[in-house]
Amino acid sequence: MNGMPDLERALRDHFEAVADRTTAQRQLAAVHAEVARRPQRPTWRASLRHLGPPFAQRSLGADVAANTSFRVLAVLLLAGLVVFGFLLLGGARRHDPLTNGRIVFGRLDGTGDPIVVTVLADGSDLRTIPSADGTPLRGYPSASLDGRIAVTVSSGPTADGLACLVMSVDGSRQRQLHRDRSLTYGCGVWSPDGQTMVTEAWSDVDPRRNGLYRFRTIDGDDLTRLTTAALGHDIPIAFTRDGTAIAFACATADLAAPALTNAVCITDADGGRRRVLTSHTTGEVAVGGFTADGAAVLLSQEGEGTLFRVATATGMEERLVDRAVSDAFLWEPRVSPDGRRILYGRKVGGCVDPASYCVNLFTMGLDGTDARRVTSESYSDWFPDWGSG
Amino acid sequence: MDRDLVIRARDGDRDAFSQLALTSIGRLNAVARLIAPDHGRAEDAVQEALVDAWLDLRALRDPERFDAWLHRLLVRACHNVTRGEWRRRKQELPLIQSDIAVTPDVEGPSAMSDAVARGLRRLTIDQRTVLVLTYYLDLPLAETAAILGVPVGTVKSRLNRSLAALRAALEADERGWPAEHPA
Repeated sequence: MNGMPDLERALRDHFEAVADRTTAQRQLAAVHAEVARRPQRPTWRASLRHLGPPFAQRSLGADVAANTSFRVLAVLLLAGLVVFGFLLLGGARRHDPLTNGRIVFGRLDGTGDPIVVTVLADGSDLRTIPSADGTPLRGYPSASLDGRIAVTVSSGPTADGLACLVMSVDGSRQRQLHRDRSLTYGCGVWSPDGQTMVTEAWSDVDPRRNGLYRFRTIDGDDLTRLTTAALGHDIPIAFTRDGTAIAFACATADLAAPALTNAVCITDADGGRRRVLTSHTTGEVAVGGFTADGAAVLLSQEGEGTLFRVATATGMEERLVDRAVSDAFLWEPRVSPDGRRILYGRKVGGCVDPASYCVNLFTMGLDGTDARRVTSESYSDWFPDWGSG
Repeated sequence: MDRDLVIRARDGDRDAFSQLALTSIGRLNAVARLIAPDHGRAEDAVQEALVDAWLDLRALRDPERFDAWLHRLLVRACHNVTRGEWRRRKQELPLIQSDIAVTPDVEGPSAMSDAVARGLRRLTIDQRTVLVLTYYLDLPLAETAAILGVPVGTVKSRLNRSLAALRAALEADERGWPAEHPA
């Protein structure tokens, strides 16, 4: 046992001798029962749970963090600018209707996390957001109504690799928000005033901590719990335009009630008054957005590729179709900032990977008419969101 | 690994996933029983990994990577069940006995295999994991790094430390020193 080769050989022999390859029918039966009962998670959420290894060599925040004094000064200056900007612009926004700005989305090119891209609604001026090192930024974007975007990246310094970057819509002024390292979460959905985000955070060690959390977008601090989803996951969908309520895909307290495991709930912005808006027995319901008047929320049923509109007052559902191609598979509806159009993904052919399909972005009127193509590439465009101009 | 099966399973075909589970479970059990503290926890870890694989299969972009991806889920599940076990024991019992199984169902294990088994009991789960991935699955360093979610350099150093710890344990065993956690 003195030489390394002997030890390695002994290890291989030992492992071969003791490894029990018995196929356990009982295990398979248990797995099959779970598989039969539970639908697959949508791609974007599954991706967030299985991001690549963290890049320990470098983090976007490391350069700034190296100088504590500079960091404190930068935070103070940033806070001052945000307060000044809010005072300057806040009043005007109350009176001026929102205008449509750039659409942001993630383009899957088959080589990793999606590339973050922005484009105008007519499909022109398509731009790739650069990362700090000049390469295309990869991650999962969401747009704010104050003209910024947030991107969940998998190259953060935390054990799970997730980090939330906030930046201008052109990719400038990127900064990484602080986060609680004992929970797994990235960015989330923006509050209408852009000051906070609500995200799903979870712990694989202690699921009792799973739930919706709110944090400040200026620094990521002030993490506040809004809901408890001890046996499942609460996934934020969108704020109402007045910022008073949040829709989210909600886990029920009892997983034995599968009819409610795909429910959509609404809660007040502080986490109070949680109520179930609608529930589905098949297909996970996640991405969507409120209409400008808050009277309805548009939702996407992931497994089915269908959109529907749910009245917030009554819970009444109505299928939402692209009238130009009424049987098309549609996903991820977002209401434009001016409230007049719906942005969504539609399954199309001509994908570079013949074994898969592609999703391109379109917009249509609130009644499903007047569909217009936004992207027309051979890759899949997911995670769309529409910022204001 | 059947690429078509993976693609069908990724598209939500439960029968295809059942086929994948059937062809994988023997290898998964073997790996889990070498990493997890005991056979019961190993079986839990395998079930957890397979259910997670079904739920999150849409995240797998390259079907050719299914086996590596599944190994990653299994390693994570082994760590999860071990952490749970450690917390439970810490709350309920003093840890006076090692949890790892000692070749209970193998006839005529060699003296060297016994010694290696005793040495492995003194290693951490991280150390056992890197040894199993390297010397049982024979994975290259880059693959092991991807499964563990650490850089290749970390795998190298962890592997060296694990071998050194195992060698030290075996040498102590040869000298007849009392084990820290007698079996």
